[in-house]
Amino acid sequence: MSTTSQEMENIFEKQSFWRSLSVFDWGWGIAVLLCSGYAWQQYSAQMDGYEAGILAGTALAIVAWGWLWKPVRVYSIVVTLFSLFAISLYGNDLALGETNFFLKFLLSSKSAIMWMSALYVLATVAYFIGLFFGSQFSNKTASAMTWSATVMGLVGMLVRWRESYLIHVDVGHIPVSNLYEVFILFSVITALLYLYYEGKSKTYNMGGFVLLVISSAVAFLLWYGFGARGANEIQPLVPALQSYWMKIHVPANFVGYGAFALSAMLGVAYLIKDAFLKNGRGGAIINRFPELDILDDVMYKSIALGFAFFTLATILGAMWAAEAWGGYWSWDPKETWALIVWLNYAAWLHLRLTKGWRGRPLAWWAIIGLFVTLFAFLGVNMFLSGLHSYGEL
Amino acid sequence: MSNETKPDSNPEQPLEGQTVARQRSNRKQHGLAKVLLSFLGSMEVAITLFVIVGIASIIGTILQQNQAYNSYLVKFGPFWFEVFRSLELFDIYSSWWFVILLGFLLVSTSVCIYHYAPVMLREWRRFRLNVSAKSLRLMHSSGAWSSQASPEETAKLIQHKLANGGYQSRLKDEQGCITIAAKKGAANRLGYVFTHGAIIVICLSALYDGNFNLKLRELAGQLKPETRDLLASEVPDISRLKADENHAFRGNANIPEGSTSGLVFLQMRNGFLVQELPFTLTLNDFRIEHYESGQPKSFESDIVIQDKETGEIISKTIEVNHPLVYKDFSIYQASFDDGGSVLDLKTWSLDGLSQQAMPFKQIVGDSRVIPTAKGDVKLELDEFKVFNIQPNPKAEETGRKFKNMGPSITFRIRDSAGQAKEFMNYMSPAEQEGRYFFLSGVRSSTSEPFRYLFIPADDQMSSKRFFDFRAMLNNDQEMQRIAEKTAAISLQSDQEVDPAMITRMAVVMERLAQLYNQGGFDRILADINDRVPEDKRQMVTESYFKVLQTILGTVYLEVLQQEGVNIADSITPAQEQFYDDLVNTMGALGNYDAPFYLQLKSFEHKQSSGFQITKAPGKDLVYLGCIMLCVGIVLMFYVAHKRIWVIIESSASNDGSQILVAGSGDRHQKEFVREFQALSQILDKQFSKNSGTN
Repeated sequence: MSTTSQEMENIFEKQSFWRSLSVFDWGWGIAVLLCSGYAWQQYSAQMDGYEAGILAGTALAIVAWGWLWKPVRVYSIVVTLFSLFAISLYGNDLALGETNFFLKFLLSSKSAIMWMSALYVLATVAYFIGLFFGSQFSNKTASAMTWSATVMGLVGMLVRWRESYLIHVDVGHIPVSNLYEVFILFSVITALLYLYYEGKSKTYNMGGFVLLVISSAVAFLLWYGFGARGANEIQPLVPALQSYWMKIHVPANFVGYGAFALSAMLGVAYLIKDAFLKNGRGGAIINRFPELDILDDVMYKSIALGFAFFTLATILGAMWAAEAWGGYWSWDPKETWALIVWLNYAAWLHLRLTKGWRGRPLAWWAIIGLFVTLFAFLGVNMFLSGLHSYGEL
Repeated sequence: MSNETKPDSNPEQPLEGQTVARQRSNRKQHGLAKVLLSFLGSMEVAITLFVIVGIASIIGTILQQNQAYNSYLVKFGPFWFEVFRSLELFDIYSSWWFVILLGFLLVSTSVCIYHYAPVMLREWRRFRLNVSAKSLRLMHSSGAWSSQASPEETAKLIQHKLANGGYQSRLKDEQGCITIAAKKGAANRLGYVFTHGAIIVICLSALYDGNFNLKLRELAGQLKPETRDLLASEVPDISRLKADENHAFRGNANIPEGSTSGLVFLQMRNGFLVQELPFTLTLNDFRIEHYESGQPKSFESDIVIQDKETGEIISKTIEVNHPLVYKDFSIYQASFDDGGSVLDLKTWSLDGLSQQAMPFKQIVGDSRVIPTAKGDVKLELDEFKVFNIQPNPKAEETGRKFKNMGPSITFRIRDSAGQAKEFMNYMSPAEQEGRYFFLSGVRSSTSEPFRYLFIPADDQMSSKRFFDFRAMLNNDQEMQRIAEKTAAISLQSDQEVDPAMITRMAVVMERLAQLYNQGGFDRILADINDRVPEDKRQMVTESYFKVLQTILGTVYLEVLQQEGVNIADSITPAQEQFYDDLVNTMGALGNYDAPFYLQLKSFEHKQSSGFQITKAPGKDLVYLGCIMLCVGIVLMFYVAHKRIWVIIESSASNDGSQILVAGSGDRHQKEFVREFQALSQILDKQFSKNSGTN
């Protein structure tokens, strides 16, 4: 946690965490709980015990998150207002998405995701301008764009959730069910992780690298969603996916993937700076790269966070498999690749924590880890499930 | 061996790494066992094992596991098939070498725990009060202050501040020298024990749930997986397991509606074992709902379980994601299939002389022998589908994205040589450009897509006229008669016609019709290329086609007449259109190459529900291990282990005290340094800082 020296002193002067919360903190926290209570009141009839538990858990988690990382408070308020506005405009009529001005150009799921995509790409450019030319203005603009894109991304997902119910009550589901949807989730989560570390380390100069991987994700989701595969169409869920597990297993996985992606890009930045410095070619741009030890430190913290969530997500996946397929572990390709990713990062962490490795080799390993993760995340879906054995009549 | 007894000789106050290193160097390393143990517990081995297990696991994801040996043989050829099979690559995760690899990982983890857990647990609990001022001064963070108050009061104040900061502390007062040892976040040490212990718990429990005991029994010759396609009752005892003989398994059962089963099938490599259950499972009803797109929306089964011993009965409706748990067993709704629907079928002969009515009933999944003009063939009825939802080509106009093509059957016709072709026939005619056709798909291997024959439907919406036409073309006697009649009519003129010419014309007509019957227009063109010199081909082709049209037209009229149509009246446009479609399709029959067309007339639909039944006694332990793992990870990464020591002595000069404070943060050095600075600032306010050390 980033704590100022005043906060540090407060530790020893018995300024409790609770006292340190402001009026806004309390007001916001209560608002979150009230909204959740309202949601419970509206939808409790359609929720079983587990889903109610997830709602309660999410509410508390959001409050805790906002108290520990302050920007979340404003972020959540903006996302809520935009989403509720969009939902109110829709009413009961999905077709309004094509005719209503605000929906068509801003807030319908499709438009919001377009805005998200454009803003992430622009942010990438702005961060690199900031890095190459040292423009603090460009950096700040990039950060603002990243925040805005992340707002639009989450708004897009929430509105899509509603749109799925507007198609038909039986079709509605949380929008994490196909590659298009989860790539949006991936972009939003990676951006949030990045913004957290940006705030904590008070440097914008990692932005370009991380936004590169987010922009790649954006390129993929645009191609997959609106190009050949047309996956932006909302499809109903097959029976095996109709479960509350999807709400916890999938997002947890993506915190893992996002963190791993972020650390890999920091690894790239590390190697570039290290290579330049080793050859004695310094220069203004290289100097603007974040310090090597900061890169190394954030890389470690990111992988640690990703590993914790990934472990949890894999366990949740096993528990879901046990309920849906009859066994918590079947060595099916997706499960096996999850294990492979887990082993990869367990090795990375052991090397760092016990063998004391730092720097270049770990940066390389983090980058390789991204490819392993990418295959587990994407490759299995796209290549392995298509494998079928040669049939003989 | 306690580090608490020898702090002075070690400049760096021992935190875990150093402690253990010294402990291990103190231990006498002799004996192969000790060396081996030390090797197995080394970090290099552990990390290498992570990587090797990871890479080995990849193999099982690219090479599809547990398929029929036949398909592997076809895919890889006999040589590689044998290589892969002997390496057990087709069932890699149960293979001996993979299990041994995992075993090594387990041993490595156990050795680690054996070495480090005692240390970690001790670290967690102990405060380490026996420190010297000298060692404190050499720590990362340290500082000295002078206080006006007595040592006891100073100590109280400092302890209070430390407590505010979340530190637990212990105090030792030895002849006016007070030592305080404070620690925070020591649960971090516990995290190590939890995470590594969790791995052991999970692996051992999962092993208990696995089929290791079955493999051992197979090795001992007590069990043999059955590889033939037999009914459960026919499977010999060596491939059967009694209800109490197996403590853990995962098996499948496909139960048709209304049936009961008391056993499941366990897949083992390329075969299966029959596992008896201590209860019977009856499927009363199976229900499925579909989305508009044809995808299944939900499916559920009403089942009844009866315990074989106690007779206890439990009824429940289960669906995907909502299994039934009964004692140690869990019953899951996994899939569904055809449960032996009874189909009313009829064959329309394509090689015979007339249409013999040959209706019969067959159950889906069965096969029967059917005599044809070229010998007996085997009809294997593979699949029956009630719905066939396809994207609607008229989606724009009608607004319906999908249309239901209706029921279909998929079957194979296998000749006496064992060669087979696969067919897919739809029950109802489909509309195409205003006319209706019976679709019949054909292919020679499952890797090809189906190619479709369009059989036009006649006025009665049946395929009879088409096959009557075919039968007539097959009937040489009839064809001769019709050819002569046609030839006579076409050569009719005012003058007298030479009978020889009529006969010649008739022969040509008959031959052309025959060629056409065998292979369509292509057959005729091939014949022309063979027999006619190049310069005359164009002319001959044109005249042949005219003649063909004439003879075929006459045959068609004969068929219509046979049907009862009065050809003296004009033919309807529909009947004309039918003729065009007929001729087109007839031309393609050569490629269809089947002795008959199989029509589905009606059906009695029976569904079966696919269940997975598992007995996994180790499951709860695995989950316990998972919780341990998660808690351990959080403790290791997010609970920072920090220690601070304070030594307070009476000042030599006055009634005050001399304070020495030092500390270290185990992994979070930077944060600890900041924390220590904060503490220093507070102490600066209370006491006066000493510029140097005593």
